[in-house]
Amino acid sequence: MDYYKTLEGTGLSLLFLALVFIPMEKVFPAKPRQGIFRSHWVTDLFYFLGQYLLWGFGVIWALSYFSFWLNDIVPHTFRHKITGQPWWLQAIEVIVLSDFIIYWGHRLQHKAGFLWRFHKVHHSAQHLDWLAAHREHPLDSIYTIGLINLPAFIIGFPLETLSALIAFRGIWAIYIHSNVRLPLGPLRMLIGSPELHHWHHDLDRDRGNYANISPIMDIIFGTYVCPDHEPEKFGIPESFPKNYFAQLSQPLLPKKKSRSSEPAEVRTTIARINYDEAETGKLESQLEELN
Amino acid sequence: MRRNKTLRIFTLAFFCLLILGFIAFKTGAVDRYFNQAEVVNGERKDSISLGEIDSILSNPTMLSTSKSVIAIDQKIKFPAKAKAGKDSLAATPKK
Repeated sequence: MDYYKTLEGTGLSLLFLALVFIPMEKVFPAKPRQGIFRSHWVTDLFYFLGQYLLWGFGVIWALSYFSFWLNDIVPHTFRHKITGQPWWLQAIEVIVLSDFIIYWGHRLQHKAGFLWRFHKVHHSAQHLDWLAAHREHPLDSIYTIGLINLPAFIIGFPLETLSALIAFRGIWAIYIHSNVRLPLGPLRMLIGSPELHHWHHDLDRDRGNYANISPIMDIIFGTYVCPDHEPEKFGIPESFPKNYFAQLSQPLLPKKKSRSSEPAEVRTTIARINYDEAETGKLESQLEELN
Repeated sequence: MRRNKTLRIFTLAFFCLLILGFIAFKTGAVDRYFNQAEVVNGERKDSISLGEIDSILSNPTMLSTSKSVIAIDQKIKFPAKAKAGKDSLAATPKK
């Protein structure tokens, strides 16, 4: 692909997403005090640019490789039967199969130390919005995209009939990270929403809500969480680099032994106390200024 | 209060409209790629590029206005690279 065109596409995408999500975040804010240019927004912009300009090509290569490798696993007659089904049935099959695989793949990312090293980059965001949705390690992206597409690659759903679903899922994934609170009512049992996914980004690593497009898998496997308020704080309990390049290299470096000997619950509690102390300090200084 | 309600309804409608427009754009792009390619002087001319199709798989929110010209002899080699696009489906990396 022409690099100039990629640059143009990236700019257009950034403009479009800003146009879609900024008004929503202003009118229906989940955290009203959070501004557009909140702290570390530049880091998230780097992730956005990296994903669109650099790592996307690696992901395409990995997908093509997977596709080529998996192509002959399922007989062509079976694939023809699949493509002969109505599009809505194919869409349901894709959602159910992909969500099942990504649900367990995602739970594994939170359980297995090696996968968590890469996935915690995504969870290191202390402020959630449409831009923070792009904070993801490239190797973590390949893992997720590989898993989410596995049933499609094996069974062979045609892109032509399901492109609308893919586009919807793409943009919805950004929406659920946005700083929006717009309760869907009973529909939230069928389709993921920010109010659910924000809890997934709570300080507690095993908080729940692992499913992708629909929370049904969370309901079935008992990990559905939906309190009636926003989490107090997002992120991870341990300290993590703030810089884009340091964040990308951190999962690849040898693991440090120092602080992590404490159990996860203890680290989460310590992080909450530190947060409360910092907030109290801010309020005290504001009070002093007023006095 | 009433003004506030109007603003909320307007914003929501704007959001829905843009999302639907985006989906229509992407669907239309894929449809044009698979069904409306022209062949002029031995070259296949598409209203969108192969990169746009690839982006459906790897980065569904990528928007591109680029047009592509693929020589026919290259097109013969194309399916090996395009299998992911033509024969299968992908979706978002976000969780």
